[in-house]
Amino acid sequence: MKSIKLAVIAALTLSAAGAMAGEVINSTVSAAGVVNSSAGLASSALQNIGVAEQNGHIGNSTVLVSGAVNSSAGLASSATQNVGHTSGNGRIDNSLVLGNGLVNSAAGLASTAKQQVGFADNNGRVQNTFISATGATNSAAGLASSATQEIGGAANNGVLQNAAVLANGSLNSSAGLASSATQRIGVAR
Amino acid sequence: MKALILKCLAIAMLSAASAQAFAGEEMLDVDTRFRAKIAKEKIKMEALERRAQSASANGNGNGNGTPAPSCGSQSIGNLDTDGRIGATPREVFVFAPNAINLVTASGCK
Repeated sequence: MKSIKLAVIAALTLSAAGAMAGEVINSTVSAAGVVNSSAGLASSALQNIGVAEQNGHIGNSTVLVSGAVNSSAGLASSATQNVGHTSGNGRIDNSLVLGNGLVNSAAGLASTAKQQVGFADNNGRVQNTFISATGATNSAAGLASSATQEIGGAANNGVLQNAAVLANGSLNSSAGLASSATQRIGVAR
Repeated sequence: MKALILKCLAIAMLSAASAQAFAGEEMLDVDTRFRAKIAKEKIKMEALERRAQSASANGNGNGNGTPAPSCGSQSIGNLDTDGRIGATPREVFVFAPNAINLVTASGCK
């Protein structure tokens, strides 16, 4: 009987630990002047600030990012900048995401630049959240390059609810033959 | 006698109305609990068809060097649920002054 009790307690402990995976709760994440870069063939630069992945949850939290720079250069290189981002049944709720002067860029043939601020992917939910990105810049340069900028939104069965999305002076650009630029602000899809 | 005539009239009217209502009801013999599922599947199929159509329409332009319609797109405060129910945003405020999405002249070709 005693061993059964112990087994139950152990199982409950493990399940509780599992439920807590991928959460930023009652927290403040602050980053100023951070720089991430990579160069070379198929290089990638990934900058994650205030990110919760795989059933990720950012709740009752503040994410403050100022002057973050992420860049990649080279053939088929990619630069991805995520600020206040959740993925895999991700949730952002009761939170404040503020990005000021965020810069993400990729240069080179078939390069890709992707910038996401206050965004939830894959059954993502953004609820009761204030998202502001001032002067966010995302750019890609090179033949067949692509630039995608997403500010305040949810994708893949995403839900955007009780949210305020401010994107003042956001710039998304691509340059080069067959290049493309996609900008989404406050979009649920 | 009057009541009988009224009853007959009512039955005749109901019969006529029901015949119209049933016209085109291909799922009449389907169990109620499966109807919702079938409706959902239909919506999914239609969404997939729409997606396939837009993908083929967008492609990489039309072969004449003209850009694809979706290339260089800017979406602000938009909603695309792809035909799904219940994914709509609610009580959302979107403010994006001076938002710029730029593709150079050689892009999208």
